Amino acid sequence: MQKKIIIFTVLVVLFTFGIVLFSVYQTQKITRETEKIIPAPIKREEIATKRPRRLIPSRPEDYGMIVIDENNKPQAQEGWDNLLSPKFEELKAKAPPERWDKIKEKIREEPQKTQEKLKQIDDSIKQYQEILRQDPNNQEIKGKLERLMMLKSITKELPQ
Amino acid sequence: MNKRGVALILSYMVITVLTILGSAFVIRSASESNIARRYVDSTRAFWMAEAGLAQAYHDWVSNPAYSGGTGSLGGGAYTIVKSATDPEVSVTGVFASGQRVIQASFVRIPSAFENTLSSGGNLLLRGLAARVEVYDKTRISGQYYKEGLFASGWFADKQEGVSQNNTTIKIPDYNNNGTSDEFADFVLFGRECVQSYPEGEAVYVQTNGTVNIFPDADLVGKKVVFVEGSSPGTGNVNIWFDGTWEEGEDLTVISTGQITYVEPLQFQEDARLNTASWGDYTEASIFRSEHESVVYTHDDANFVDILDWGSTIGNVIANDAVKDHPSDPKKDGISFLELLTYEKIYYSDRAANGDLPPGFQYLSGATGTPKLIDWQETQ
Repeated sequence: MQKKIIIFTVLVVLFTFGIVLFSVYQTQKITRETEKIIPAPIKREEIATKRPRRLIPSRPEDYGMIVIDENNKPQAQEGWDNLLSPKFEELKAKAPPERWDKIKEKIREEPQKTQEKLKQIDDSIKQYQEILRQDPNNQEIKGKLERLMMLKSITKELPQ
Repeated sequence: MNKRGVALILSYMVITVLTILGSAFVIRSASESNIARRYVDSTRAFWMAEAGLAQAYHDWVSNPAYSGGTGSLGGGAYTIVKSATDPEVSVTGVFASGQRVIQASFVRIPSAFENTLSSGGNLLLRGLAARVEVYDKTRISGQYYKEGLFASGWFADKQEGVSQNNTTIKIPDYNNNGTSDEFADFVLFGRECVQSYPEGEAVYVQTNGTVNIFPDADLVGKKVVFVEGSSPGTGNVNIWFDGTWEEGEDLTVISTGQITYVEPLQFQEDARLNTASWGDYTEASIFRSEHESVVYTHDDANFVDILDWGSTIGNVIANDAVKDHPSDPKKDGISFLELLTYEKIYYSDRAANGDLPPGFQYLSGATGTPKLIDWQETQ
């Protein structure tokens, strides 16, 4: 009988020890999982230091750009109109109507003022052309004339 | 039936259960205490690292040669390591068993971005009935001139004779020949911009002609357009209306020549179109125009043929590195010419607060006030 009691006691002790070990294991498992959550490293989007890529020239026409050769720049209003008109048509077709409406609204608001501005541009163009006739190498006037012709091309695409 | 021993068995069972429960509680309690302590240490270490970052920023601003250091606070400590070349700072915070590391990226903001108008040369207002209003700071290294029968200028805060350190941005010495602010440096700056962005975000055009850029759906999402000519004054750009197409776009157009912004009607109110040119920047419009831009030119900025009310929000920086108007030196710098109505320039603090236009981080180089632009925890 005493032998049975000893064996039973040993079994109970082993069982208890096993349970304690299991508890320790479970507790450590929970601890590890909790620690994973606690530090929570804050990751921000990487910027700036991106690996440099090879420099391959793009095709400007792929991005809707028009390249004008410096030697073949339009010298007259008609030249600028012919160059830009198709582009403006394309933009108008692609852009949501409200974007072009913004420009239209500005003209409709003050049609008289717009006409005055156009007259101003025409007068300035004539004036600059006259200066260039006398001084064909005047780069400053050439630049001014070019800008005014560019601005005038815009107005031609707008509703009158 | 012999029932002797039952009490012993029952007492064993009770002891067993109590032992299990007791040991579980003790272990659990000790473990939770340990977790809590580690959490506290870790959090304190993080705040140590943050404190170190604040200290690094403070020391760096007051000492441009700052290279890092150590410090202690409330039982914890931090170590700051600043990289020699890149504006990166790594701060390790330590508190008891906790250790956290913060990696921060800075960009230097030249003081010109604190101004609405910055001219390395003069500021000229010349027009029959010109009216210019400039909000916040106008800083001119040369002088302010006003010419015209009905011309008038209003400046919220204008100073003349200011050091060029506060009105210009010198291009860093990208070719390492010992001289900064050269054309070759500008070209390399442009290439650096293109290369630093993914292929889908940068457009690189090589031409000696004039590139006309329109608001185009194919430019949506682009950050940088670099038009490179073979020599100064080539690779000019005309920007029509605006190159931006969608809300929130931020595009920088870089040119080795001149940039002309024709009719800058901004279709998208929260978009920003920026320019950086070796040659002059020129803005012309017929209709009322409004746009947000950061304008940088190595030469002169001209607002001409503004035939209606116009407004620019941002910063205009004209280095006036080349005195190219010997017969009319007043025009060297920023000029408002042939203006018939209002031009208003408003300040935007986006760039000054670290939100530089795409590519401008490569222009700002190693001068100016450091600004934190990004940080992340690495450990």
